[in-house]
Amino acid sequence: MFFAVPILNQWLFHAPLHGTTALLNTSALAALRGKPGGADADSIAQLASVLRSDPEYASESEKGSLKPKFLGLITTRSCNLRCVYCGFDASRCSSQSLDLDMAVRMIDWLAAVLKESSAKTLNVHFFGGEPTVHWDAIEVAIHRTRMIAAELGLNPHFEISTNGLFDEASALFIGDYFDTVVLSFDGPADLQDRYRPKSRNAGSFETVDRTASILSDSPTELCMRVCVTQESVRRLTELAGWFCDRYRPSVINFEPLQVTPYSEEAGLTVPDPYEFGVAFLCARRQLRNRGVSVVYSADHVDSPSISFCPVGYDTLILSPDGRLSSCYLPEQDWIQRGLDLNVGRIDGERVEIDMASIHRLRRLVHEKPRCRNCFCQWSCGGGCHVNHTYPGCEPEYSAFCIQTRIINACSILESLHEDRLMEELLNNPSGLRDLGSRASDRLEDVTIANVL
Amino acid sequence: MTARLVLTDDVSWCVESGGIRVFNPQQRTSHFLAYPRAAVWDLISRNTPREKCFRLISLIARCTEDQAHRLVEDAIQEWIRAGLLKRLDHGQHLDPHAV
Repeated sequence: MFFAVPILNQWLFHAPLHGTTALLNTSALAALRGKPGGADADSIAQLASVLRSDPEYASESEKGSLKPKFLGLITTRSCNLRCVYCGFDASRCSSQSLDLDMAVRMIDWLAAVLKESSAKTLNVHFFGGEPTVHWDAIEVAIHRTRMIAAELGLNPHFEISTNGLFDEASALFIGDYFDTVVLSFDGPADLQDRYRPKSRNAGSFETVDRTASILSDSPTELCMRVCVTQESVRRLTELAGWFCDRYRPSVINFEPLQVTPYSEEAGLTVPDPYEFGVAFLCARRQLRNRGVSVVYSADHVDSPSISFCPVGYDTLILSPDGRLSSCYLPEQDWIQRGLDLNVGRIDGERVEIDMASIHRLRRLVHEKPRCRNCFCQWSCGGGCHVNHTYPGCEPEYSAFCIQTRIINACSILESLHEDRLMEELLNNPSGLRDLGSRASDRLEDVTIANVL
Repeated sequence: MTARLVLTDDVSWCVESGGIRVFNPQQRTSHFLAYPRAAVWDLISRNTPREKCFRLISLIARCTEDQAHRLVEDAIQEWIRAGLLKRLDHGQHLDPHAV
């Protein structure tokens, strides 16, 4: 799979499955397409040999045994915040909490499966609602996992996605035991209190600020997850600096707002994708020398990635009702999209995995119509399977695609040390539009007339 | 009512792979607590009510609540003997280390 992406008056040749990228001028691209015209013959011959070779990367077999990326525990769908853009809407979900005994059985079952398959790590992630609302589940699952991992010689690894709205003792516990904390935090009080209030009249900044400070003093890897609106997109560089000055994050993750009925009611809009792409890249460049990664979830250009999220990686996420699925979004959201992301269930002492569903989800992540001709398909994995590339979605690029194309192309340029060209691109609106909206990047679709 | 416990002065602890290490600087000793005792230490030192401790430990160690009760009480006795914990008499002023 070979792509050629226009970068101003040059071309980015990208062969993700061959691990090859190169920046070409027009005549070099023409030569690569078999139209010699003065390009460096040796370099072109090298690239041409890539076109004839087998890919270095072969995706995992769609058949084959279960290899879960992690065990997810949805401890509860309840939440103690009232975010104005909430996509989960705790009120439409069951108020059921995860049964502690069920969680323990699931952990033990997975530990045994991993031991048998000679895996080294027992990964457990916590999701909600707000997972810490069901605090007993956190304590029991952490200690049971550590206990069984020690018995079986596995390394436990813990991650939590949280809003940070808990007391000091809980923050200290999380700092002591979690390897990674993804803290949803939108920035200074003016943004945090407006976007992520506790109630109509009470902000959450003070508490979340304390949590972030406590976690900054702990050994955990702290990832700030920031929801970006059209209103806040112009502040990304400022926000990145603010987080680094005030706390000790390892990662700052900027994600654009996902439209929900609540976000519309609040008058919030999705950031312009060009503006988001440029602002994100400027923020990332600003923090390059501070040892903090600025990330966007659809930007994985280092190695091929088949999926944007846990779906397709055999992930097992346990819901309070005993279902096992590969997605942490509420079940009704997938059903509305005509998807079934369930992969099994726990029933009494038995854990039942439906391998046919596991194999089906491994295939789901491939061959999405919207991604067919896009050079990002192996780095963004098509984005969210439920909200972005669901069955029957329009094949045209969305705002998500456009910002992803810009960010991915610039990440590849950075990997080629083409920072100056990236800078030129970011300051060239027509060049950005040419890159962002190009219908097909496939090498075979680049017409020679375009090239010469 | 169960007597409250406090960490002995200067006792500190940290999470380690497979358990918890407790430091007693006065005696210049360190104690590695493997599971399930590591969970007992964590819960007790975070001021978890004793009855709740029994219930959570029975889940963590996959044993009955009676067995969890014995496990917790035996561990506490041992830690008191080792100078890591001390009982707080009724009416005594509660210090910030109270557990």
